[in-house]
Amino acid sequence: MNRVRQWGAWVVIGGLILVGIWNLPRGEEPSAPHSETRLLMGTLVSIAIWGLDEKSASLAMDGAFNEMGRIESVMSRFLPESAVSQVNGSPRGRFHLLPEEVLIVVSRGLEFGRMSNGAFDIGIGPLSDLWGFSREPPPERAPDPTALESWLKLRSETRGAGIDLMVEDRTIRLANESVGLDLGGIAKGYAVDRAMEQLHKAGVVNALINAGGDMRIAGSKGSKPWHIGLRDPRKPDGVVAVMDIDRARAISTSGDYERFFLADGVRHHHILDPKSAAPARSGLMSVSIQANDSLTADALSTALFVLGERAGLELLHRFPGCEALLIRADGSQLQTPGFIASRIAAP
Amino acid sequence: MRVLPLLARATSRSDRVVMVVSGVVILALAVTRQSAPGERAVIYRDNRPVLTLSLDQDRKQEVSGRLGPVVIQVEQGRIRLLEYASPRLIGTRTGWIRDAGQTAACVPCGIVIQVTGKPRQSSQAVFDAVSE
Repeated sequence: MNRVRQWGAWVVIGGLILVGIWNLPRGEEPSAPHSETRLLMGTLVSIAIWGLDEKSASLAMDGAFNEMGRIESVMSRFLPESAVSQVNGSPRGRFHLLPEEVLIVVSRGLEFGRMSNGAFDIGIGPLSDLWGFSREPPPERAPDPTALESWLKLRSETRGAGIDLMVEDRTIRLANESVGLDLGGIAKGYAVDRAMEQLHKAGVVNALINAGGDMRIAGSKGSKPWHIGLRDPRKPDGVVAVMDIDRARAISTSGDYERFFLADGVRHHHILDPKSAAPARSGLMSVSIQANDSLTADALSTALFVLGERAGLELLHRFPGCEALLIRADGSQLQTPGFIASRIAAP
Repeated sequence: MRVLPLLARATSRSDRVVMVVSGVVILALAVTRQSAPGERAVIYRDNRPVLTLSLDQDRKQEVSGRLGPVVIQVEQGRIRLLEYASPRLIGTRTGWIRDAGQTAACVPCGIVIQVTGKPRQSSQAVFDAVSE
């Protein structure tokens, strides 16, 4: 009987230990990424790093945040000392010297503008000011139609975006007062790319940078992918797609829900169509782009939103490696074949 | 229900003590591997820490934001941005937060609240980020 008792006891103890081990997190993997959040570029920027010790991760994140802060100080049109503000404050019709980094971003912006037939426009600073979506408190009514018509008339007197860029001289010229640099649709993506570069220089292999929806992903969380939700355009706490990503990828979403106001039953959102001087009405609620870099994803999400489904997808096909998920105004979705999304639900 | 009498017959008292102690140790290990709700929150103004609040003491605290005073409320172990001097309250939509690593922010005020501690282990229910 004693032998039976002993065997019984050890079987039960062994079982308990096995159950305990089974329920514990897998041994060699850290349980969660190190992460930090800061306010930069008018939004919350979060960086998560997996697989580094806390001190090294913290140092790497400092470098990446500092890089984004530096870019903001050069490219923001709201900081009076920035290079972009200096250009916007200078007399029109004259050439103005640009820092090389701004020149590169402006040059890419103009390229997206040409390829999208003007749907993406980095020269609409004065129009953005008229609508005032970046003001605090935010606007509650549309601008005076006369002011919008005046802007359209003045803008029609310019050629293209009304921006002349002399790359060799590193100079820029704005045509008239309807033109002003607004890099809001591209600078955040550029900053995210540079921040990821800083992380890689610091030895980071697995990271996720999220700058208010503009994301760059590297590697994974050990045996697990980065688990990313795509916001439901009409339910702030809901998601319509889940993206499990374990490779280098950038994601950007543009939607009519981030900054908007309702007036007389009409939703006025912050993505402006330069051709109408009003919020884009292209039949879409949101556009998400997956690309190899954040700058491209950022610019394309805006361009496709303004262009709408047909013209937008035509533009997308000119960018190999880029994929899109469109949510139409009626809530239906269109996903290109290579868009990584493991589960889609109707919004 | 026959398991307990069978277990009692098959084991001595000391065996049962060993079993109970083993069970408790395993349970404690499993619980401590997952983070508890945070105990404190750090308030940042323009990315600089300006205040630390304990989450076990209900209170309303005013901090100075870029656009004027911002009220922060602590209640029942959770914390939120309550209001600031703007008619539109656009920074307050995050609502209550309580878990380590969670963040609430009023972007135009330059105020961020972050609950301190090690973030909860990722699960399928929680996203690493949301694209919006």
